Amino acid sequence: MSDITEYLDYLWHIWQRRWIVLAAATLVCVIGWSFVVVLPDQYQVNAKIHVDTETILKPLLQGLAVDSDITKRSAELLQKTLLTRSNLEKIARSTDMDLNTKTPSEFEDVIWGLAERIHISGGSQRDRRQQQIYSVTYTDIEAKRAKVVVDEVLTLFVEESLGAVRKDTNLTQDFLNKQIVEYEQKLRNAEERLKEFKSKNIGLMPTDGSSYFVQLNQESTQLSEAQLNLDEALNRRKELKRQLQDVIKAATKSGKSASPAIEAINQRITEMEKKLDELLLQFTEEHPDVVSVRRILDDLEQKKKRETRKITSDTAEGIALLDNNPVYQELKVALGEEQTKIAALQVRVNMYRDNVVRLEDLMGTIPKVEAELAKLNRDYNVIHNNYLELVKRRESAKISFDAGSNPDDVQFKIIDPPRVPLRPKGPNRLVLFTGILGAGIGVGVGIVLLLLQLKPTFNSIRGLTKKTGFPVIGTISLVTSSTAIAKERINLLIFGVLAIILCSVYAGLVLTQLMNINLQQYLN
Amino acid sequence: MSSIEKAIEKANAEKKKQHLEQQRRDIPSREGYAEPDTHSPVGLETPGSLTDRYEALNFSMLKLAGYLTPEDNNSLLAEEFRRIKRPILQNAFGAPAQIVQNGNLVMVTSAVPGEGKTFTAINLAISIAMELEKTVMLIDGDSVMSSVSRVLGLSSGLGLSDILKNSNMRLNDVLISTNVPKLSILSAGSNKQHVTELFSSDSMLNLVSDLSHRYSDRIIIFDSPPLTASSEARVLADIVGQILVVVEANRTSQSLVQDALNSLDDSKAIGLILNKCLKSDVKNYGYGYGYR
Repeated sequence: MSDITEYLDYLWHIWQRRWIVLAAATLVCVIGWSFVVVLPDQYQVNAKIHVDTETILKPLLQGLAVDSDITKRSAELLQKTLLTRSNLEKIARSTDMDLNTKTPSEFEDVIWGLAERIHISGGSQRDRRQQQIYSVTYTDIEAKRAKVVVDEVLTLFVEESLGAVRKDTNLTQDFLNKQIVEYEQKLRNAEERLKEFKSKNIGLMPTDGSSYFVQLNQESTQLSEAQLNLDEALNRRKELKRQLQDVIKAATKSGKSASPAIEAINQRITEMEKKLDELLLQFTEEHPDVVSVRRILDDLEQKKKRETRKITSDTAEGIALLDNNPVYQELKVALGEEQTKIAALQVRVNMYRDNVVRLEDLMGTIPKVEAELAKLNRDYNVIHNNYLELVKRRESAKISFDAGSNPDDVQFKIIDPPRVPLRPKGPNRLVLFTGILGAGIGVGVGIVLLLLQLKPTFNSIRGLTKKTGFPVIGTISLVTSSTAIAKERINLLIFGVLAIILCSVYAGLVLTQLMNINLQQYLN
Repeated sequence: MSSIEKAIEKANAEKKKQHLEQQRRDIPSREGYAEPDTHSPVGLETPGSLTDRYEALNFSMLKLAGYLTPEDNNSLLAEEFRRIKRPILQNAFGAPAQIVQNGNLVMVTSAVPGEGKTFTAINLAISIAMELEKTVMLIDGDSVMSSVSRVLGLSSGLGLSDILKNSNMRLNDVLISTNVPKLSILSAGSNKQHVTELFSSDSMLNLVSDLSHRYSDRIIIFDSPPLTASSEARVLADIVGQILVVVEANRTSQSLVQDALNSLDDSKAIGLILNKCLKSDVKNYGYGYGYR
């Protein structure tokens, strides 16, 4: 409730000061409306062009944005590329806009004006096929000039696009050619390496690998066989040697006992021993005869030993003995045979062992070689593939170029050509007139409210006594005397008349807009 | 207002004649007023006695202009002034009168011109004049505007400033009695120079003291200039005992009112009247009014 009364209060206050509102509104309206009437008409020219994004836009806008951006912001980017400083100057000159400018800064203004008022829009995302429609819009106070500008922009568009596409094709060709030459070289190098490697490792190529394995097995088995044989032979020899020793021992033993020399010594020994025994019966050990006999005995013993010893396999006696022994002879022969066998077997075993070791070594290196070979092959293949790919691309680019994705053959379709507009697009005077009226009233009301805030008045006892601190004895209601009423009436009348005048001016202006009366012609 | 002035002047002569006759015939006035001579012996001036000047007020004209008239008993305006005069009379004659010095000297002023001082002063005077036992002297303290004289249609003549200047003049020479029996009026006077000095002079003090003490049932109302406009108001404010400040609702800025009030002496009985209100705030009657 209190809100409503507050608003009503405000309304009443505004009504009390309605003259302020009227004055403010009139002032604002007079200034504003004259301004609006004097505003020059704006003519807008619009042209629509249909452009293939892939072939045209991408090369044209390359470098300005990432591929995915191009489709989204193509219109923005187009505007940037087309409306360069030099292009704008071209446009200005072709439309004679530069003739009116006297100073460089004025020319600058013209250029800036063009840049601001030329709009390129379009490239709607809803169109799934990449072909898109762009529109070029330009607003100017002169209708003909507007059309010329749009014409110029379209021409520039086409020219620049073609140039860009051509440049792009050339660039691609150059790039491919360079790459292909590089790759040829690489390919040759790889082939060389491969050849070298193969020749260096001739026996070790993977196909030979299996035979080595077989060989190794063979040699191994042979080795073990030979080794076995060798061991057997060695054993036999040992046996034979032992038997031989036995024979020798036996033979020499008997030889030793049959030898005449030894017999003689034995006799003498017995004699001496007899003598010794006799002497010992008479004398002691210290007797010189005993001593000498003992000495002689020792000598004889020693001699015997010597003689015995002599009869071994080495002495002639021994040998003569042995030679006569047939077993000994047989054994000796067998031993000899065995010896030769062993030698032969040893040679064999060594040979086999060497082979095995050699083969094993070779086998060890084969995997390494295999791996190296595989790598070289791989490298070669990769280079080869890339090379083929490049060649293919170049060919296809050539083909497509020749076949007709020709820059000159490009998809430009002007859907809506620019036309000289007969009627101006703006400014929207109707809206402006109304807006100014509203603004004027608003300003007036605003001033009143501001005054209320700045210079508040009293309208209640409570407020009065609260603010001043003095008691309020009473109130006197507003007396509406007949004179006061009459005065008020006249005031109201004048106010009403003035307000009506203001509104009729407004209505008149609105009417001119609705009936498309051009006010400007009356001014000139 | 000029048309009213003219009409009032026209009717004046007639009324004057009528009143003189009435007086001679000793017909009591409407309000049951007692015999003119009951109050005092021959003195300087006697309410209702034969002063040298008499002017009849044109009540119909006043009514047209929205003022309170003696015939007006039941209007909203009459009620409002009945309420307003109570505390004033209390301060003048009642219990608070002990504290309030010169309580029967009342000044009606405002912060800025046009708030309704004269309107209030005149209506207050008439309303009090309707009291059974009180008499009123309305003094026009605004020498510049002389609004009281203008509104009531009094011929411009000698008044307060003349008396103060010329010591030989007698009050009875300039005091105006009216067709409202208990109301006499002292106009501002023809002299418009050095009024402030005259107001602060001894002769003013003497006059005022005399006026206030001579009759115990008389109340003296000064219509003064606005506080911001002149220094006369401030001088008057020192002389009187009660100060009524009229504030125009919805027009006078609060700061102006506050400034005006700040310039007043706290020791006086100061009260506010909210004039030209849109709704009759009869409920929100004022707080106690008295010595502050």
